[in-house]
Amino acid sequence: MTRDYSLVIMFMLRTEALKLYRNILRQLNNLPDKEQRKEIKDWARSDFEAHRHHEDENTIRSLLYQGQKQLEELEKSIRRANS
Amino acid sequence: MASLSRTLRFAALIRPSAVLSVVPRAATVGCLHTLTSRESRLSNTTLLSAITKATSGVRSYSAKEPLTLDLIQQRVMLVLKLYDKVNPDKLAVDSHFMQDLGLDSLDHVEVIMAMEDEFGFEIPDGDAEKLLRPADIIRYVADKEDIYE
Repeated sequence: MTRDYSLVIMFMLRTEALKLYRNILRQLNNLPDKEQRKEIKDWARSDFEAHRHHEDENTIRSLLYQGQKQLEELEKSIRRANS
Repeated sequence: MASLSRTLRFAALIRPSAVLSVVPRAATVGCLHTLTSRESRLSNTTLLSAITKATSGVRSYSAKEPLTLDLIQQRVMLVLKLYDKVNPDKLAVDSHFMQDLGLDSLDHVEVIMAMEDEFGFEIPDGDAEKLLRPADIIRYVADKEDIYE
């Protein structure tokens, strides 16, 4: 039964990770320079790929939290660059 | 004769009917005149018809090109063909992104984002995770744009 529960948790975390990736890509659309956009997109993708293998819930959660913080930083710097 | 042809050449640039009134009807001049006036008349009418076609016709408010199911399909397949992680030989309208084309969920996110860019509207996360084949995307876009066939 604990095994079933963890599958649900993994599914939820996976959905969260995909949401984070989608939000990063959406935020990048606000960046006018196409070269930079591609660079940051590839960098984000490689980060996600590097952590693909994790199984432990806490590791994944802390990585997602870090990712969310990085997204907020990205948002701020894009806003600053565009203003 | 030289001055006559000079006037004719100049006159052919203006409207042909004006030329008819100005140039006297000599036989050789007449032949030359009908030739040049025919081609200038041709260019005038095609230009005119092009202009009228462009300005008249259907009112286009927030002008998007008219979508048909076929056009949506072409655009969806083109976007997928241009995506570098997709093998164009394996691509078909009902090929599953993950099972047939070997894409992973991050690639799927990128594909859906590309579709949003192509068709100009956002696809919410809940809907996006259900679009797992090009056929699904085509049907979804058609629903959103109210296209029935």
